[in-house]
Amino acid sequence: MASLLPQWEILGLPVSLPILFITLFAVILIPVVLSQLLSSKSKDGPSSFFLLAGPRDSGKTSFLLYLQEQTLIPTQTSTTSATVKLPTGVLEQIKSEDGETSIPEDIGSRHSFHLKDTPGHPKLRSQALTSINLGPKACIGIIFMLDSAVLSSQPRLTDTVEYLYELLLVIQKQYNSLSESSASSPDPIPLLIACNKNDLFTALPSAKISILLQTELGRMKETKRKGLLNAGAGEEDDEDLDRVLGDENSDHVTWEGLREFGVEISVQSGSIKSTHAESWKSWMSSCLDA
Amino acid sequence: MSTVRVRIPSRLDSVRRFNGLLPGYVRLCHDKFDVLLFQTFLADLLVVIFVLVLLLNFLTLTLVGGCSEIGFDSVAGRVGRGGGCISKLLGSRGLGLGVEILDLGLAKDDPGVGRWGLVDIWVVDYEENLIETYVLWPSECNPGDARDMLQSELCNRLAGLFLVAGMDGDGRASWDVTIVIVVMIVVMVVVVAVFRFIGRVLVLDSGLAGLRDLIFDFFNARSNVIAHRQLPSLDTHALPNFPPSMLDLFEVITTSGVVLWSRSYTPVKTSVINSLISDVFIEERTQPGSEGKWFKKDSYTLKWTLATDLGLIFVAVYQSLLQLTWIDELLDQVKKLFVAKYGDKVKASNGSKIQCHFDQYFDSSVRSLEPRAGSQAPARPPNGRTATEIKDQSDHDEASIGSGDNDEWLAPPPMPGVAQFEPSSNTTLSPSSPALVAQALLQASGRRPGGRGRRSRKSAGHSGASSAHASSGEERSPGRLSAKPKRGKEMRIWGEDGSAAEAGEEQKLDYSGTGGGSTDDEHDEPVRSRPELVDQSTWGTKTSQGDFVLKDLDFEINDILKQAKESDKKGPTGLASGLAAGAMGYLRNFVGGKTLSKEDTDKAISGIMTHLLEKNVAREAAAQICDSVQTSLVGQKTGSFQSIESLVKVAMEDALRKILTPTTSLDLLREIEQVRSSEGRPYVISIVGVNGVGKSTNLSKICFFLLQNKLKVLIAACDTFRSGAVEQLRVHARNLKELSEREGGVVDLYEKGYGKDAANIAKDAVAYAASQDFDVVLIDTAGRRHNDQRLMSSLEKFAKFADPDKILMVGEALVGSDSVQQARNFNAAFGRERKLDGFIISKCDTVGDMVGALISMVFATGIPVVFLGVGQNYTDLRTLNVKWAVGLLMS
Repeated sequence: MASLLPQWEILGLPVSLPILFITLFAVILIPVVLSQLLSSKSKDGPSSFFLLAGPRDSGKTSFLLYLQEQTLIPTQTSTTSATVKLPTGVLEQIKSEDGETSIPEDIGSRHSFHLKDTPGHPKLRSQALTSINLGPKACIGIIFMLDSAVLSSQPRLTDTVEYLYELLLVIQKQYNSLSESSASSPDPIPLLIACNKNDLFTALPSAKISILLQTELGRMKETKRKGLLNAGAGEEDDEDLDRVLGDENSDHVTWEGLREFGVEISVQSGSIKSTHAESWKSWMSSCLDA
Repeated sequence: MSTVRVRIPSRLDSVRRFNGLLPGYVRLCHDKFDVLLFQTFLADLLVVIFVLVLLLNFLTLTLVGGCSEIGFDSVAGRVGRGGGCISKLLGSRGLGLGVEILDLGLAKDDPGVGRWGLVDIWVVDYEENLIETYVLWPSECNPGDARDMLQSELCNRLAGLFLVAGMDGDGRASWDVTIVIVVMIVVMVVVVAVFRFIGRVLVLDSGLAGLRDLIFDFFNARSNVIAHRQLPSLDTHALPNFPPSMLDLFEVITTSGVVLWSRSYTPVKTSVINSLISDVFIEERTQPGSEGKWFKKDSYTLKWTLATDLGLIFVAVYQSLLQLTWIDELLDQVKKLFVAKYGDKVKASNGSKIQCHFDQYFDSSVRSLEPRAGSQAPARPPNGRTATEIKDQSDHDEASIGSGDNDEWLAPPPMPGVAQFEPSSNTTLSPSSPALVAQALLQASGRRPGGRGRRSRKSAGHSGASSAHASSGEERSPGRLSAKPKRGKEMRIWGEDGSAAEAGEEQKLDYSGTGGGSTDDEHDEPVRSRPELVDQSTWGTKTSQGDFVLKDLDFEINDILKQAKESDKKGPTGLASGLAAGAMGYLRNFVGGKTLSKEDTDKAISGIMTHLLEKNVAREAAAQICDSVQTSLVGQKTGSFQSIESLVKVAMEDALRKILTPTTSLDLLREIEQVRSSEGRPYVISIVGVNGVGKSTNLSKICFFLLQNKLKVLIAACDTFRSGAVEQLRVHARNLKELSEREGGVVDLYEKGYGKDAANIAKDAVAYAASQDFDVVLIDTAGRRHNDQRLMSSLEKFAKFADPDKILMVGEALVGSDSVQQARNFNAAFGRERKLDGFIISKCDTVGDMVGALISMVFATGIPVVFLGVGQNYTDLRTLNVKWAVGLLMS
């Protein structure tokens, strides 16, 4: 007990050094251990997720809500992204013809995935582009949703394709750096081009859209190659080198060609309004299985 | 008389205040639990440190300097030698326990050596405030006994303060140090775990709402947790659905785009609100004159309010023809209500859909605010019953202690009979339909005029309980209960004698069971289970006339609004009481997790504003950008170890990026190709700007770029004003021709000399280009001062005649605060339909990183920067790299 005698006084209080140390030790250690214990359980962030991208008014948020609530819910233009955890059951539910809205609960509770909805406004696209991450345990797949009824008008087509181009470019860049760092080339990321609103009269069929997008991407690639340098060019993080999508020697862009550059594209039609989204759901579940 | 003044350590005060800390922490937990777990951990850490420091004090006190060592033996031993000596001695001697004897004086007239007179002991706290004082009488004892007595007395008294420290009566420590530490640790673990659990329950498990309310009530001593109350279900509610309103649409939207709740009176296209969101919230363009308060689209006017911390947008849409003055108030009220009711849910839902049964609240808000000329009552239907019935309030009125005027209302004999509502002016009620009764009661929210005849009677009382009364009571109770699950019970309390009762603290609701000698056994379960304590304020209030007003939806709304107002006043400190709030708030400045208020960010915002100004951003633009950044930050929480400055910086970067990111494609080559292939006409680009900014130079740079892409370009010299302008272009054209001969591009100059009308020349040039199969026409115009109305007005005609595909304005990077006005004036100069299509910012190489003009111009107009001029050569033309520009601005 002698060692516990006070050595100093602080503010009129005698303080004993060993006790101080013991207490401080306990003070520092307990919460660390405690929070470790607690956080290991609850830290269940969206480490891997589906990314939902696409130009505005294409139905991204509606699709998310459709999966979540199984009904149509009105939406407005999004300004922030939202990540929602969904049970895998929502993808399989349609398969059983008779049990209409029954999500198999045992599956639903055990397996789940995250779906990240991003705003499609041009000024906010960086939110989607920065959340693409090809590293391990990141994007399971990307759903690029577009409005198949408006693609026949040139400005909307340009808008859509420009977004798609940027998206593919980001994927390509990441894929390149990833395959450089690792010996074996990583698997390409699956990308679904979901042609929404095919219930509308002016909607183009998915095969037509597929061709349209590829030729438009090709044209865009051509002009980008010819275009001016941007202002930051020549500085350390030179992005200009990667401005060309796909094969540098050709002006054509094909889905097959892009596979080498880290993305596996499939184009499928559907309509959320007429609850016709089975093909997208099965695409998602195949991504989850893989 | 002798006096002893004793000062106790200040920390004991903290012990007493510790009680205040606990609930504060619980509320903190509640407040914080949606934040990063690390921050919760930090909160825990702070609490643990605090508690352990306290315990550390006790430990050192008990183990090292116990009361037994409180040097009184020496005091008494020297008592006989005179007071001065004693006080000296005491003063020099440190006493254990932190108790220090300030002065001990013996009265001059003390009788004799070895004897003390009255010893007056003063215990003071650190600020020398008197805590207690008492008098000891050691005078009759010998010095030894006096010492013992004084010592034990003092120790006992003081030990009272130290009870927590685990001292026994002698003030001796009774625990071993290791045991204490182990106990401490266990206690800490339990405390933290419990708090965490509580926090989790409060926020995450809405299923345990009951427990949550319980905890809330316990700690907050709030009898009314209105936000968590159940609503009366729709079917029993008497309000008409969809009362007509001048509004067209009201929506509650999350920033992630989900419509949480909406009320549409007439169909309105969704594009109306969509354009509000993209124009105002994303592109931050305010319509001229609106000052960001309203937005007009088609024939609608939109007003909105935001709950930034929850990410909610409240939008009201109405016809622009109507001058609705109450919309702002409605938005504000609805926002408060919605946030109070669904705030937690929205937070937990992470931006996805939640279920909202908000209809009645909204309707009620609209009713109370919307003045309805010539129709029924403004806020509340006047057809209720009076509170004259309250006078029937009788004997069992312990409750009415608070209401002094009750005596004069003393009871006339109650009318015997079946419980009954007399039909009031336009509502017919019958006792046999409980739902209707409930309805009527809900309606009767206002004053209740009328006479004695209009009464609800449930006279089981004085006239003796007949079976009819009993049964009517029984019949109604379950009905009520089912109709209004939770609050129904509280709201309809009718005296035995038929009055609307002022139920007091100790009064039972079940008058049918207790009145008139009828025993409880006659009534069945639902009736008997009802008795509970009722606080009068929970179910109604008294008006100044003594009218008793039942609580209903309007009350609930008022309560919520009142609470919101109070919490506004109190600010964030309302969340955590006293000490905890202060300490936590201060610490959070450093460790993060602080909820930002406008004041918090003021300093950082003004810092970043200065920074922007230094980067040559126009003051007007800088101020507006800072404003919008600040509003977006209010209500947010800092991340772990994130200072406000860094948060503001990140937000500012985002804002700048958002401003500079174009909304349309800027791929000029693609567009030219498009126009050429689909329409077969030349693509027309015209260039405008103030004098000397480099219009001609940039035109030739663009021309060079186009020539390199093998296009046929016609340069039209439409500067017919400044001498030498045409010659200058001729030189450029000649140079470019030479440069591009090998590349395969073709360039030609279209000139008509000086003095002619520029618009006509431009028109001719386009026609000429079409006939000669040129791909692109580049039109150079005369420089003009943007605030010269005469010169600017000719631009409108020019735009009409030449009909350019792109009008690009050249702006200097050198220009300062004038940039905003330049951009605005040029943007407006082309008439109603035509706007600028882009900016060329020239002379970027001369300003280094002070590229503020970029931001000013884009912010003022929302028009993107197409090119940057970065040097004197034809090749020194660049497209804008947003990342680069933001990097320069923030460096």
